This record gives sequence, C-alpha cells and structure tokens, in this order.
Amino acid sequence: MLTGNDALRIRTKLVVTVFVLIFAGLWGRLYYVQVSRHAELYAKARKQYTATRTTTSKRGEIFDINGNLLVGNIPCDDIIADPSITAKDPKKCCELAKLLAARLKLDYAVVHAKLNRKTRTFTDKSGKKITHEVRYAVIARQVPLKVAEKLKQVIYPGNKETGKAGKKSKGFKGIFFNETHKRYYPKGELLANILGFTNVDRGEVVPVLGIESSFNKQISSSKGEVKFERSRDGHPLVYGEKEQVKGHDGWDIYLTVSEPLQAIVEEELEKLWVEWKPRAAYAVMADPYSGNILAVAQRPSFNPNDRRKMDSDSWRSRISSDTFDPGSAMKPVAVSGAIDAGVVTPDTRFDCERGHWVYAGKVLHDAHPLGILTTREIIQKSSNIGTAKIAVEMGKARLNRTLRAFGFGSRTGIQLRHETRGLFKQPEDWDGLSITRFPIGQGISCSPLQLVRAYCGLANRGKIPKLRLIDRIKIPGKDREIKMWIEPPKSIYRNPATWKTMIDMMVLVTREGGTATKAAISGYDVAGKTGTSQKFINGEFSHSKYFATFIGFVPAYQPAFVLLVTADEPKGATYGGTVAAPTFRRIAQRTLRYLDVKPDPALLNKGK
Amino acid sequence: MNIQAINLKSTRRRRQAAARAVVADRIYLVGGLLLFFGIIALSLNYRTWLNKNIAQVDKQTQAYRKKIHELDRELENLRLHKESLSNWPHIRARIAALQLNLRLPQPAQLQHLAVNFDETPAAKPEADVAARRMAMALSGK
Repeated sequence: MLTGNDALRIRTKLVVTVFVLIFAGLWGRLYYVQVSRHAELYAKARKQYTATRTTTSKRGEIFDINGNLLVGNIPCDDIIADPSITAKDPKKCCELAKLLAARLKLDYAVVHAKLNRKTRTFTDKSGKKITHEVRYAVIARQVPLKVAEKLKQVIYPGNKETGKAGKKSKGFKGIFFNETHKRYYPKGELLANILGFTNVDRGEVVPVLGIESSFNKQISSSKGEVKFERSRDGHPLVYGEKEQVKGHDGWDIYLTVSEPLQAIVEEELEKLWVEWKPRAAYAVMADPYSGNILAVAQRPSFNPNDRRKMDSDSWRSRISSDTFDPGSAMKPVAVSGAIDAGVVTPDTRFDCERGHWVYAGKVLHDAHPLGILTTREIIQKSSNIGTAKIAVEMGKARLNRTLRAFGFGSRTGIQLRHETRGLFKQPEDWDGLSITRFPIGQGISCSPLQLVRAYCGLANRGKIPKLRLIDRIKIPGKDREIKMWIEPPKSIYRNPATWKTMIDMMVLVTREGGTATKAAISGYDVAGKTGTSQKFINGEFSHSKYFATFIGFVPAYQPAFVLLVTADEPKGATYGGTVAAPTFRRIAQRTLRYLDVKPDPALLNKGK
Repeated sequence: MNIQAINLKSTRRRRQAAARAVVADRIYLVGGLLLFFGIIALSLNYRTWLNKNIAQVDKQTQAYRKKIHELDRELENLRLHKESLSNWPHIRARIAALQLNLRLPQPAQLQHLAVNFDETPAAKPEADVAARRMAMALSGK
C-alpha cells in the first residue's frame, strides 16, 4: 500500500518527466529552427526587416563655354501602381483611375485597366502558360514635379511627416511615386542638332544623336543602392546594418560654343529661312586660331522638349554628316596653292574667253562673259574659266596637294558621330576634266565643317587648326576638370607672304565690283567668297537646284571669326551673294559688336 | 561537581550582538543586491531612454533630410526654369511685349573694365579673341 510520501514521490517524478519531455521537445524545436533551418529562416527574416532603396544619379549636363546651361535634368516622378492593392476595392479603383486620368491627362480606360490588372499570363518556351501576379504597373513616366506634388497631397492618406491627414486626402492606397529626372533642354531649339536628344526605354536613357550620343559613356550616370535594416515605419534602424553601393553622377560637358553668339546666328538664320524658303540652311562660326566652334545653327531644326513636331529630316547634324559642292568658295583655296608655289601672282593675266571655254572636249562657262582678267580679278569676279586655267598651270599634283593640305577628303575630327569624309577622289581616279572642275568646287564635295576648317587656314595666315567642339569635361564631386587638348595648327604655306596676298584678293570680293558686296560691313575689311553650286541629282548637275553659300572672315587681317552661311535650294534667287551674303553681314555685324571688335576709323571715313 | 557562576547579563548581550550582526549582514547583503540590481535596472532604463531619444532624433533627421532633398529638387527645377527664361528668344519676346525699344550700342559707346581677370573661371572665346588681337597688334604682325 502506498503511503502519502510514495504518492507524492511518484507525482513528482511524473511532473519532472513531463517537464523534461517538454524541454527536450523545445530544445529539439530550437535546434530545428536555429540550426537546421537557420539559413532559410534567417533569409526570410532579413527580407522582412531589410529594405533596399535605389538612389538616383543625374546624367551629366551640357554647358556652353561660359557655363550657360544647354542641357539639364529636370526632377520629376514616375507614378507606379500596385494592382494587387488598387484592384481590391472596385469603387475606389474607379475613383483613383478618374483622378489619375484627369490630373495626368491620360485615357481613363487605359488607367483603369492598368490599376485592375492583377495578373499577367504569358506562354513560356515550352508552350506552358504561366500566370504572374502584377505588382508594378507604370501609370505615367516623368510627371512634372508640381503635378506630382499635387497628386501626392490627394492620394496619400496623410502627411508622412506630420502624421496628419491631408485636407484633400482621399486615402488611396497602392500608388507610389518614384523620383527620377527628365532630360530638359532649357534653350529649346538652340543648338538642338548638335546637342541631340535622348529617349527613355523601360526606364533606361537611350541617347539618339548629337553630343548626347557621342559622349554617352561620359555623360551616363550609374544608380546607387542602399540596403538597410528598417523599423516598422520603413525608416532605417539607427544601429542596423547598412550596405551601400554608391552611384555616381555623369560628367558635365562644356562646349566651345558661346550661347550669345549662338543666339545671334540662330536668329539671323531663321530670317534667311523665312525669306528664301530653302530646303535647308546652315551657318557655322569658328575661331580660326584655336579651331573652336563658336556657333552652329541649321534649319530645319527641332525643339527637343517637344517631340511631337519632330521629323527625321530635321534631326541630323548637317554640318558634319552632309556634303555639298562648295562651288566657287573653293577658288581661293586652289588659287592660294598657285600663289604659294609662285605659279601665278595676283597680277598674272588670264583670258576668260568671254564665258565660254572648251577643255578636254567639254565646255566650261562663266556666269557672266568676262575677258582678260588678273588673278585677283578672277577671285573678285569669281571666274570659273580663269580659276580652271590657273589650276591647269599649277598641275594635277600641286592642286591635289593643296586641296588635301586644306583638309578636303579628310575628317575634321570633331567629336560628333557619323562625320563624313566628303568626296575627293584620289589623283589616280581623276579624269581629264577634274583639274578644271575641282578648283571651282565641282565634282568635289565636302561637309560644311571641312570648308570652315579650310577657311580657318586662310584666315589664320595659312595655319590650319583642328576644329574643337568640346572645351572641357568636369567630373562632379571631384572638383576636377579635363581640358580638351588644343592641337597646334599646321602650316600650309611655304611663302610667308601668301596669306596676305590671298586676303588682299578675298577682300575685293566684298568691295565694289565683287560678287558679294552685300557682305560688306562699314568700318571693317571683310574677306570672303561666294559659292553658287548646282546640285548633283541623278547623275547630272541640276539647272534649277543650287547651294547658295557665302564664307568669310572679319576683320580680314586680324579675324575674330570665320563664318559660313549656306542655303540649300533657296527659292527666288540662287546666288550666294544674294541669298547668303546679307545673312553673313547681319551675323558678322552683331557678332563684332558683341565681341567688341572696334571698326577701323580709316575704313569708316572711306565708307562716307 | 563543578559549578561555575555565569553572568547571564553579558551572555544575553553577546547573543543579542551576534543576532544583530546577522541581521546587519543580511541587510547589507539585501541592500547590496538591491543596489546592484537597481543600478542595472537604472542603466537599462537609461539606455532605453537614450535609444528612444536617438531613434526620435534620427527620425527627425530623416524628416529634415527628406525636406532638404525635396527643396533641392525644387531648387533644381527653379534653376532650369531660370535658364529657360534667360533664353534669347524669350528675352526678345519680352522686350517686344514690354515695348522697351532697345537697340545695340555703337562700338564707341562700349567701355570695358576688367576686374580680377585672373580669377575668370573659364577662358571665354571673346576674351581669347580680344587677347590674341591685342597681342598681334602689339607685335605688329
């Protein structure tokens, strides 16, 4: 028989056994959770209390040489919906779709469909249909900051900072605002063809053309990422672990272009565009000493902020990728070779055959019948026959050497993609007529930049500079600038007096009796040359379609800039002296005033 | 038979003193423990209070950071807006709208003052041209 003590002992043992078993079970469970499933559960837990935030970086900006902003990044928001939340309440979903459609000027049905699309089904390679839950639907990209801010006030249930509900709050859930930047061109059409533009493809910036494309590697930014342990409200824990991958902003590019000069050139070219209604028109201004491109304008152009009106014809940079026959603008280049070699002097006389000369079985014409002219008169009156005769005197090898020394047939090396080499045949491919056609700018084609480079050589005393479009690159955050190298110009002339002789002749072009009196500016010597070239269409030179060009520099003997103005197929007139020269004069006049290049009092008095 | 006389009074005193010593020891022990745990509790409380304050300050800092970030974005927006207003076609349109009747100055009306020329951050093309022209004029070339 059990005594009271025995019963107590047994009960105690039972309780102890039960406790031991419970503890063993707990230890077992603890082992299972903490050791066996450690990795899996730890990862799950981490996922819950670890948040990842992507930090946005800015694409590099583009400035003119003086730091005026040409391309920037305007802050904006992408509006994202989580349909697994927004589709829960159909009534609220409709309300939200109405609100978003009205504020963002979107189609209600499209927005509603996006907010309601909970799943997406697609077929994989094996033909199996897979259904995914949709938790990310882009409602609108790059929404302006002001619009997004107003939307936030209505959509968010309360002010996150104060914890109070916004006055207009409607308590919508499942809408998020992702901070982003939009490429913005504050100067609109100004320099648009050189700057280029970008597109956005699935949130990624895709450069299309211009500097945006050529320097994409340098301008591009990289996104950063921060992983942190967060509190319930989503804020990082003070003592939590933090992993950070730093993003970096893109490099800033400073062009050699000067915005005020660019504005002058754009404005005056627009006047030419309206007056002569050409198919295209362009103007390039360069510093003949450093080779800096000071301004570039072209028509048709586009406003990169407004893509709706853009057409592909206005996109490309005509100054570097298009070619044209320079026509008579080539004459001073060719003649300078003959003068430098001593083949002719400014006073050497040539019979211009009354405008009709047969060479190698083909007739060469002058625009007006001319008799016996000196070399300087040939340039002044732009005689094709006279120039061709000078070239024949020079010989094929010397002509080829001269034109190539001025850069025809070779790229300028400007930092733009798709730069053309132009068309200038190798001497072995020349036919019998080439020697008479190339020096008058026929059968040879070049880009506007190539012609500007050649005239920089004429203006800079026979020293041809390398053209520059990028002045320097700035690395943000490091306070470091990379100055782009200025190559020393190459000398072309052997005779040190050639440059002055050439300029003396070219000044006559804008004086009484020359072909470009409309380019003359009171108080300044203007050296230049007109060019009126027939367009080469379907294997023959057109008699109705022309390039009208004027290129020159001013003041002639100490030039501040070289300027080219070309109209492609102007209506109503064809001559460079009529169409392009007045635009040259207007641009040059304004530029000289802006640069504070004082007029020569002697020339002012002469003008009176 | 060995009979010894004892002083009952002193014995009681000794016993009482010993008992008092035991009580005092216990009081010291308990007091010590209480003090020890009290200090621990206090420091834990203080730590918690500090953490709470740090978290609060951190929250405030983050709110300020967010505000600064938003202001930065707004400033960036305004900077771009300012740049678009300084566009020449815009200025020209305003001149026309306000009928300011501005015209270019005559060359003789222009005077230039160069201050701290060395501190100019970037070489301006116009400055380049002017400098070169001056150098050429001085050298007589």
